[in-house]
Amino acid sequence: MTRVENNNLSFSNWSASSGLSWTPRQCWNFKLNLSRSFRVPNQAELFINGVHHGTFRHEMGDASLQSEIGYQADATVLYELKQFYVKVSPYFNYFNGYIYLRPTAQFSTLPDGGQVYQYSQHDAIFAGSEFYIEWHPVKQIHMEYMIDGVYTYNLNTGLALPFTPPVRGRFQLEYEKDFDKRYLSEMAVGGNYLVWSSQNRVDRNEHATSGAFTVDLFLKMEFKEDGASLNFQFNNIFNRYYLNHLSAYRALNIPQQGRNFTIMLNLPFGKK
Amino acid sequence: MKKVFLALLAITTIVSCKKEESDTTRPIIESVKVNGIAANEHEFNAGETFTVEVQVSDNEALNQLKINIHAADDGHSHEGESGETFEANTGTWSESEIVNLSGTSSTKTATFQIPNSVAGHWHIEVQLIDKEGNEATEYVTLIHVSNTNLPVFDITTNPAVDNFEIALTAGNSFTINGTVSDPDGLIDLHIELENESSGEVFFEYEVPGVSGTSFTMPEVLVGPILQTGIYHLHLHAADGQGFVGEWAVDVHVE
Repeated sequence: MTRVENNNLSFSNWSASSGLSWTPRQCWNFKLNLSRSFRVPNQAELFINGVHHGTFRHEMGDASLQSEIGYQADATVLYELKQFYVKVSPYFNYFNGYIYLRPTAQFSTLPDGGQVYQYSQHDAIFAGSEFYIEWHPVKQIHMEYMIDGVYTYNLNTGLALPFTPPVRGRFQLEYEKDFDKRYLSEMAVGGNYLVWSSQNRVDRNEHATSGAFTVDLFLKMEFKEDGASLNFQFNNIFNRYYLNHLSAYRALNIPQQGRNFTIMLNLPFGKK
Repeated sequence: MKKVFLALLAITTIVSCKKEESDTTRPIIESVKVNGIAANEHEFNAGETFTVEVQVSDNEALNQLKINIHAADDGHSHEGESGETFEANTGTWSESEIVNLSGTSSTKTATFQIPNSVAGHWHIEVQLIDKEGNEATEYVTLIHVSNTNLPVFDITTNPAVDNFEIALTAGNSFTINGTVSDPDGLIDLHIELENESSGEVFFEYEVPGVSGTSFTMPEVLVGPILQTGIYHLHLHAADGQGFVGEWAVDVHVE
């Protein structure tokens, strides 16, 4: 059985971008970027034909795929003071011939294969925004909050594209202190509160994933001696059970790590 | 800047309203009956025939049904958790059948025959898709095949089998002794040692004088084996009714 025909393909295309930055006052900055880009289909997208044992699907390439072309517009609004920093960056991408795996409604004839998924291309939209704010009420306290969200739309199916990230947010609080001790130069203690919304805008056969949150704590120590550091990281301290919508294991209902603990010792050497 | 963002947002909104969402409702496997019985496990004897009756439905249009039977002795499951582990199957058997469907409901029956010379555990896996490619939650049931017809092996080796494996150092040999019994009378006993990576048969021996309901084989010397690697040792015994039993271990040469 021939799984892939002999092919001789060539691709050519062009990309360009231009940007604009405007600083009306020292604390304000506005940016706008416009660009056109392309991506050549990769070997798997062109020629794969068989059961992928990571995704348990029969995946099939398509040698007639063309380059994927993207038109991007993104903007940034930035406001910065001594103890305060805000950044908003919305973006909008239109893809001409976005390449993705699509169910074919035909079963694989291979005994261990389910439905055949074939690489296909259709026009699609990716739009979203990131928001970031940082505040230092006093010098030692660092607070930041970040939130981002993406909206995807497949113009052929009217559905979301596969693996669209849910809206996620992160709040960080950190207390930092400088030391003038013999060994210790700086110490910081803090935590992260991470939250994900549920993702119900999914592609065909993709599972919706419910929202989740985790709390992480950390302790960082920096030493005078050659810039050595010691970090303690306690992740998912409430041992929350949650699924990552973007993980390939999501389809198998395999959750993310429970409570876990990391010690990181960084010892630079060979440095005078 | 705000205007640009609002404009982009407006485009997104217009596009979202343009198209009606296509059918994403999954089809449903209503029931799977093996010989008329819906259960998580079914008991059979080798050589038996059974039917799998599948009742399915979809909101718009059904497209294909796939019934496949595959070995389940490795303890795999189909829903993320680990499954039950079983003794290694005797013999290989697999089936795969794709049935085209139409309409919004259907009942299909497929007939399968279990080969005479197998024993162990298999999964019957039923999958369903509609015309849009929406997949149903699959259905898996376990079948246990008993086989009282197969010859029974009582084998000892030197070095002895430890954890389904004989460990050897390159340049050494091993011996096989034992008794094979079957009430239907034995007619053949065949020994084979195959290199796993090359598939090459390193040793092959047709034991002479095989007869009776209980046959004690003379000691068989295999080796010396010079090349390191993993080898598969198979003993196949056939009885007067044509049933072939298998005894197999790995030989690990270091």
